[in-house]
Amino acid sequence: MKSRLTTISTYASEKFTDELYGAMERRLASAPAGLCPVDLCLNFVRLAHAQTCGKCVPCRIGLGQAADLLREIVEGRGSLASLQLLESTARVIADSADCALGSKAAELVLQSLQNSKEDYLAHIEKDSCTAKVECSVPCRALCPAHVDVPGYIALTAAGRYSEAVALIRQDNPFPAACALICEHPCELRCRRRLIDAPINIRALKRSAVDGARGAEVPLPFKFPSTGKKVAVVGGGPGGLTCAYYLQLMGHSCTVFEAKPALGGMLRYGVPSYRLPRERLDEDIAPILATGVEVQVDTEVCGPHGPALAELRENFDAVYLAVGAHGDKKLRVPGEDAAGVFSAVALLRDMEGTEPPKLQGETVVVVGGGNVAMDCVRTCIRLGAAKTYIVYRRRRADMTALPEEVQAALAEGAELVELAAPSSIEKDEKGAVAAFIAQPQRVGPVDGAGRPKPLPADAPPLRIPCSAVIVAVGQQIPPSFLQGSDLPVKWGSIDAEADTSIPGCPGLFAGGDCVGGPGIVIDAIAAGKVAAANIDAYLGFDHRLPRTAAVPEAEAADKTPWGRAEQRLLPAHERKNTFAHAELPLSREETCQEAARCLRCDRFGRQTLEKGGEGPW
Amino acid sequence: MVKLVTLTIDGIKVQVPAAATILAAAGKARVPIPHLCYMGGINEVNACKVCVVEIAGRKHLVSACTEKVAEGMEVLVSSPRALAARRTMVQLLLSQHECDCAECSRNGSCQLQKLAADLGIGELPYRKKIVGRPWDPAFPLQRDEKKCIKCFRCVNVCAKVQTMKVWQVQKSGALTTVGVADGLNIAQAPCTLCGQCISQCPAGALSERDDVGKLETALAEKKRVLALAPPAFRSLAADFFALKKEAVTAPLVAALVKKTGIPSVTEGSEAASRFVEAEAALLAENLKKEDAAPLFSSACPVFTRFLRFKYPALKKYLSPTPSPLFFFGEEAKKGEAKNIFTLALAPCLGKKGEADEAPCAGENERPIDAVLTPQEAERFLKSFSLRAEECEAELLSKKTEGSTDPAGNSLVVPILTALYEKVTGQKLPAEKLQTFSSAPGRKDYVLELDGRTLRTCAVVGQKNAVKLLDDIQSGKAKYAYVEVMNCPALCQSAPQS
Repeated sequence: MKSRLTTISTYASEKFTDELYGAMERRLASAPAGLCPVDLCLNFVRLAHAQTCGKCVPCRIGLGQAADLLREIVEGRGSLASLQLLESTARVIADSADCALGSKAAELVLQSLQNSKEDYLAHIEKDSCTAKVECSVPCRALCPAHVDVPGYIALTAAGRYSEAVALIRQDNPFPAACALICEHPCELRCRRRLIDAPINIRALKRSAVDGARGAEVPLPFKFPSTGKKVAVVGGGPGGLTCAYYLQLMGHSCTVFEAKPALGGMLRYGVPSYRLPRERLDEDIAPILATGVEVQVDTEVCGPHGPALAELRENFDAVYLAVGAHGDKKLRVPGEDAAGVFSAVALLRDMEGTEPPKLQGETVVVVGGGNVAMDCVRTCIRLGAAKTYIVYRRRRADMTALPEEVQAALAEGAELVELAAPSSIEKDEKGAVAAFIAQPQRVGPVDGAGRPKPLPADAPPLRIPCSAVIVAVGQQIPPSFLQGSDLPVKWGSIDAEADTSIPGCPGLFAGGDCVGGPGIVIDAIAAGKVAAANIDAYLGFDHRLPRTAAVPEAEAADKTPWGRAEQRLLPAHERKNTFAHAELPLSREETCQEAARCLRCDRFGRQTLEKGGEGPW
Repeated sequence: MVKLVTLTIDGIKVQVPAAATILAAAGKARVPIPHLCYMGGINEVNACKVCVVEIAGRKHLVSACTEKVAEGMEVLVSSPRALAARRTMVQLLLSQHECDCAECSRNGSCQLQKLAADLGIGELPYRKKIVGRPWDPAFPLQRDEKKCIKCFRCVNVCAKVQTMKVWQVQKSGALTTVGVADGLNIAQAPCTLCGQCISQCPAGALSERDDVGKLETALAEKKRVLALAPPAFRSLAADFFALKKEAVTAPLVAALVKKTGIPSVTEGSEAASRFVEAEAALLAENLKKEDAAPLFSSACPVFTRFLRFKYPALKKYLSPTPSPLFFFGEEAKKGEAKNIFTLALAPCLGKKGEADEAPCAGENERPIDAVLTPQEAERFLKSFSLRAEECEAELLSKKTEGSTDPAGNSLVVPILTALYEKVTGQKLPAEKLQTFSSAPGRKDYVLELDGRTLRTCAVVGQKNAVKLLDDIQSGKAKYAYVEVMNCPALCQSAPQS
């Protein structure tokens, strides 16, 4: 007899459905870059169609017709009329479907039509596809500098550390810095996700740079001198990258740095417990060994430094990589109180002769980015008695890496979520007495997918404190742009993706001063792009040789296996010291982790092309 | 006090209870909103989306059939946006509907066809994608999946009105469809052949098995066709000849049918009499017993099937007397059976099933050769371009025989009358028969006979039958004779287009 009710079914096929969804999720997360957006939209609609309950016409029939039209288009049988019908059908589905299963699928079709219009037209008009699959090694495609990740993983596993570091330097001259602090976009679509989890690429890079310290790695081949002179403004990772490759191409570079030492934000923005300065110097030394000329304490456009026009006259080309060392303000009453300072100032002063004195103080750090976490963890190490992170959104909405947030909390910081700064209370001497915040509630989701905070109907929050550190964003110091005729957009230099500046021949720009505060590998990538394009601008076509002998790949054993993680020193230990907090993988772990690599460089479409090396 | 709200529908102000749907409000404002799947209280599933309307200030369109009204609401039934969506819905439905309209039993009475015409659907922009599983062609109820628009009316009318659940929503996603529950073949399913699903199908996916061809072949083979047109057929004839019900008499029906070349048409009063006699005899026998079992009339074939599937334990109470249809067939086939073709113009699908299942020695020995439902009869008669007025005039000039009484369905009173006569040898005096209603849709007839009280009843509607049978099973009610007519309002409510 059939039972009237049953508990949630545990049929094997239903259990497997869950597994299937899990596999689908992992597959989506490891989606290769450059696939045809129309084909993907088609298959998205087909999945959505399979998920409908089948009750209503818009979903049950409409999504099927939309999929048919997409198929027609993707196979080159479509016309402008099919495109129009697809759009009107999707519009009606979005407008009339009973539930989100249908309406959200249709809305996505409409967005796809809007955002990928050219791809649709290419299929219809030329039966061709704008998909770009020339580099289908996911880690390499997603690394902004296109470093040969599988190559150096294989060399590291083989114990050939020096060759691994040399291979990294072909595309990124900051292997040590990146091994320690890169946000590793390379891991995002790692194909290993299909099986278990992405390869811990950054940890393997750490094993490589630990195995072969900077000076142990021989300098690469250098082209003969061309006699051309290039000025690089800014001695951060971007500027130094550009100078390094230009030197290897035979040009003579001079780096102008406003601060007393090279390294930019790596030195003046990243705390030393994350990037010990000797590790940074390991990267900088080989760069300087190529013959780069350096002028520190020289602020271009500053009161004592050369003007930009001067550089353009005296050099054949100029690369601007001045970063974003200017701070953004809270713009609340009381911000002028003594004891309120910016994140930029705090982290910069850590490198000065007199580190900030916060012993025993109560500090409020405002912001939810990685810089805010750097600040709060620095304050803890400076002996602050109590530290708060005040953020106007939720923890889940923070732009800081989750592991950075976790580390800060473990070290004793207290997180105050959904609290927007409203004023800073001063004592009778004009010093900070308390931080006043207005409680917020989550609101509608914004364009970037995060819910906007809205003021909550609640009394203001008062946090008594003696210092406030503002970490709510950075920008180019406005003084650099004042009086220049550089094109500016949103407070940044408006340069092209090839780093050229329209209307300014011979002038190039990249990194934080173009895109706003970003991650270090983006600045390095911009420096690399600038070097290639400056070389071309100067009338050359120097292709830096690729000489690495990457070990042959063995077909990987695809048994699911855990991802090896680097551990931190225990919180109670690390919070009292500026010594490096992250512990490397052991040799055993390194080999195990490297063995998980699927070697997409040897098994995939790139085998159709020569070796699969990225363009230089 | 019912809370009222005021809203406008296409600019027309209307005041309705706050709990009303937009569709109901539009009805009050006399603004038609097309819809396909909606059946008030029975199929409020909001599936076809043909009734989508625009509400001023709302982000999305809403379905008028289920969306409740609100104070100050501004409903736009035919705004360009609503109209475009409605057209798209119909186009999408048509992309999965086999439009063989000219060959379809619903040609001219199809709601989808009418909607497409009303909305001016021209050439379909979508690719046709028509799928359908095969169906047992011998079963009286036919389903053409290629025409099913998944409005789910059949599912809910069967489950909620007829309590049977023959139909089931099956599969998921794009493949969602309707099928016989539990994966059964329809011939094995507990279908009572009530035909309610056919009458609710808006697009011709459900129909009766077409037996018109059998009749036409018989006529072509010059067989002698003897037709039974029971009283219930009169009101159905009135519908399709657009005559007043009281104007349609048995002779008029006979005259119309004879125009087609069918030589003999009877209302079957003789067969009915034989049935009444047989039942009276059984009841007279039961009177002699101390604790006689109740006797259930088998006149309604839908009820006998219902009993078989839902109350198998009560099947034993079914009267062994075959239905009047059988008496008609038996009488007609006496003698030269080979050249006789018996035809019944029955009010319902159940009679087809009854004729199919009637016990007989062989194919040629069937008491009834063909049963045509009103829809089939209409199609057959239509092709003769018959004109009712002509027949009426003829009849007036001839002065023909036959009753003009309105059709009475229940045979309980005639049976009790016959019983009384049989037992007492006297006519039944009016005061000996008491009539009252003891439950919805149930009429009790209590006969005083020889100092005994004989309780009988006539019930209409399947839901009311469920109550009666439950009452009998639990001992709450005791009847000597029970007659159930399965359709909600006697045989006249059998499926109509």
